[in-house]
Amino acid sequence: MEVKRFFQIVFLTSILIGCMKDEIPVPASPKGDLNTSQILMGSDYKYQIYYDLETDSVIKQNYKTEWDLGFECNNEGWHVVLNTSKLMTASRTSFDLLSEVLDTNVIDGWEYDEVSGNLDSTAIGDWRGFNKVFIIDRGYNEKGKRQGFYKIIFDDVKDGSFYFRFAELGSTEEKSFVLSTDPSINYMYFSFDNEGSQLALEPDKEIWDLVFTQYTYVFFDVDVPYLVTGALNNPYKCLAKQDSLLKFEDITREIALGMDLSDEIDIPGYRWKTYDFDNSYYEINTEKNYIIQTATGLYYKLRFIDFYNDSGENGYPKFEFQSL
Amino acid sequence: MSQDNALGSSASLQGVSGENVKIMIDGVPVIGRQDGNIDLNQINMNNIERIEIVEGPLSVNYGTNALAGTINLISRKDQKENVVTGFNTYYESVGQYNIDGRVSLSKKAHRIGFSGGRNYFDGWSDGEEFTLIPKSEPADTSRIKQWNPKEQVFGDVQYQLTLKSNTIRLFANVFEEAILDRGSPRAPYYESAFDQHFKTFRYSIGADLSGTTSEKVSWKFLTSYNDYVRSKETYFKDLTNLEEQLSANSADHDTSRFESVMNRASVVLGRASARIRGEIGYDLFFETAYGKRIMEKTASMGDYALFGSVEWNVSPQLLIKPGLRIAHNTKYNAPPVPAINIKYAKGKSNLRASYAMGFRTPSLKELHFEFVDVNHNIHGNDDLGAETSHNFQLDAGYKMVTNQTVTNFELGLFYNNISNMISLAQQGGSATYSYINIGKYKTHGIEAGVNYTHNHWKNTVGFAYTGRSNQIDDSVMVNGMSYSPEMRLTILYEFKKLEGNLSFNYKYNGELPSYTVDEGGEIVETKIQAYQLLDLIGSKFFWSRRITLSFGVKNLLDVKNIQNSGPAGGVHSGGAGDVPISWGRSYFASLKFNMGWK
Repeated sequence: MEVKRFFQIVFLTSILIGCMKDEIPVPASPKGDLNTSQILMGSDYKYQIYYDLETDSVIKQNYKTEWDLGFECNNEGWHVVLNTSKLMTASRTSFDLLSEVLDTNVIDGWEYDEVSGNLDSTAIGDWRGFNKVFIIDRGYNEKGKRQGFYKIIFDDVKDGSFYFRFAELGSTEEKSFVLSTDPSINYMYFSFDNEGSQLALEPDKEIWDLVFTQYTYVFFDVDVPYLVTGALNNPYKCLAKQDSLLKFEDITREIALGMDLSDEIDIPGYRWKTYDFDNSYYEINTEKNYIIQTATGLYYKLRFIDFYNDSGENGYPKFEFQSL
Repeated sequence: MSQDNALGSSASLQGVSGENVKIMIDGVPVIGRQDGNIDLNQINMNNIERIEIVEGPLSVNYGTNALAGTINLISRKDQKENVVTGFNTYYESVGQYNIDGRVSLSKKAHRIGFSGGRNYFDGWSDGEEFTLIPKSEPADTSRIKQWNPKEQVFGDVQYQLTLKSNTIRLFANVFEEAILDRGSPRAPYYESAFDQHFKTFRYSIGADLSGTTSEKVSWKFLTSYNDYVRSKETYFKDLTNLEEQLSANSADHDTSRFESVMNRASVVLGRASARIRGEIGYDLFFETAYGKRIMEKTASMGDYALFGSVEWNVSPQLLIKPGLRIAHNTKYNAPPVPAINIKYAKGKSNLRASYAMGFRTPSLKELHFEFVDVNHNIHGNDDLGAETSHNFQLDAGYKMVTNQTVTNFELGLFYNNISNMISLAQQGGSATYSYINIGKYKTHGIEAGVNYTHNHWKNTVGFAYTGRSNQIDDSVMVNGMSYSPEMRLTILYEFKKLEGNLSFNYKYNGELPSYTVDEGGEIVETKIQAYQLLDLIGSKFFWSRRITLSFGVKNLLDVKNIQNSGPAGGVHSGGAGDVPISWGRSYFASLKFNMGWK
């Protein structure tokens, strides 16, 4: 009899109850009185989006492939930066004439712009008096397609205008260009497309705080430049600091005022998320808090809470912030 | 055996890993290698009569991937009764519920058989509470399982016609598997997660013919079509209301498919008692791979081979058997593959020596892989050649028989030298990667075993000591070899009056040293700890052995993860850490029913 009962148990256990059970939902947690905002970069990160904390609004946006070089706009400015959102690089050659440089065999290596935005260490560097050919690698578009090579000689900067000559790397026909700057923005952009064009893509530097974009980061342990995705702060007066010791709720104006804020532009940067290779998704490092002093002198605390939209698509940084 | 929580389990032979082990069912190669390996958990064992494992290459007959050895699963075919049925259920305390059954009908020259079953596992994490039946669990951080929930459904049908000494067998089988990998609830609010659903679907159909036309001529013919599809889909799940939607990221989904057609036939010439016998045959294999990371989304490869061997009975004691395979491959120059076996048997002793060459064809992935985006540039290489190996083996056996006991002694030595191993390597200093023939790998070792049967007892003890090349990855080696011992012991005691038996299975895997590169770029030694597995099983027979009821403890010593001591790995690699071995101690009950009617 007992044996028979056991058969029944084994039989029933095996066929009747070995099936997938639904989970029990968890309760949603209360969010408090923080502001929450989400930026729509898109999964291929093709946009550069200028955002203002005070008005919690996007001021302006452009395709990252619209421009190649940025020219410094303040009065004594002479720096030239690369569009790091395309993994652009530059290299100095020892040639005086554009027509002497027709391929990349003449160079030893490529230079990147410093991720911190420090203008003392850009790929192009101090070109004044150098007057030799630079080769510019235009990097990649959002699909990973190469944008080609150009060569350029910077001739002069005076009275707010840059004078330079450029050509496609394989070409012998050069073109001269005069680019005029605008003191209300940080950089006047230039694109090699359409035989060269000047583009005022940046909004007025007084009215934005963060730009959501891809940018080039060189991982020094493997010495490989990578495109990372994140938020850079406005180089004009914006200051920021990362903190991972305090609880986000506990950060007050007094604490923020006592902090030594930095003018490096890659804060917040990209480190508020980590790619989890085992599970193939971005994890948010919610312990990283950011204290930001805006161009208008206001203090905010901010932390990222997501990188996905409600459909699970990446490229939608979401953050909580509060004025201090 | 090794376990990977995503890719399943794989077998290694003579210290050579799974991509060089050929797995076949009734001589038909199993396709669908993930990361080079066949997931052994996906092979339906319910209709398998016996397993033939041959260590060392059988490349002359079976071609690629048979470098370390072959595992051939032989299904049930013969039956004496008109109707045979079988029914098995299995329950294991970690939440495994299996059921399968079969029925086979035979009348005169015809036999038709059906079998099918379902295996369900509800997932397990260390420390989980025991429940007899699966129950709903909260969608919190406990939802992730180290061993993922899995369901497998399978079935097959066979028809066999026997005419005099010729047999025709037609077969079809189907297998489906679903694995749910529940993601970790996402910080800071733990209200959503990415869940990955893995699905595998396989089927094969084929015909297997064999016969003899005279005492001097026998023949075999086998042809089969195989299809394998594996997909990964990622769902974004809202844990507060359990709604889920397919993730919008194309990178979160992946489907790969392999399709193959094979045909192998051979003729054996010469009487069984003849001094010289020969076998000659051909082996055709055509495979197509589909997937988004294959260049142009699809790639095909054909391998067309002739093979032959001669058995020369030099004297009643001495047999020499040389063999050769010559192949044409549509993708690369296939090497000719020789082998020679020598057997000397006298009385109760025998001595065997063999040399065989083995090879592994570059896979379609290695030839045609393509993964290019801003941050990656990985390409296949269509100039790849085969991985080749040389295997030498020497085995001695002695059989001792008395009135009540039979004792077998076996002693063997082996040596494998693999060259041109295919490995993914960086091109120059750039971020471009491709596959190249670069690696070398050697193993050698000694194996010894004793098999003892006496009245109530049936005992086996085996010992192996294997040396492997010190390998950091496929292309970086450290001088010298690392050695590791293994031991197994099985004891079975038959209670003849009580109609039952008790068995004790023990396996010891010794410490396995290896090398890796630490964060500072220094080569350092790591060690995978030794571990022991012990199972105890008791069975009782009823109704003239038609019913077997078994209870047992698996992994009595409760081994779960073992440590790989050493430094932590880099960004992409695991390096040191825990190696999953088992889910720990578990208890099982099983019922087997087999019956035949005239």
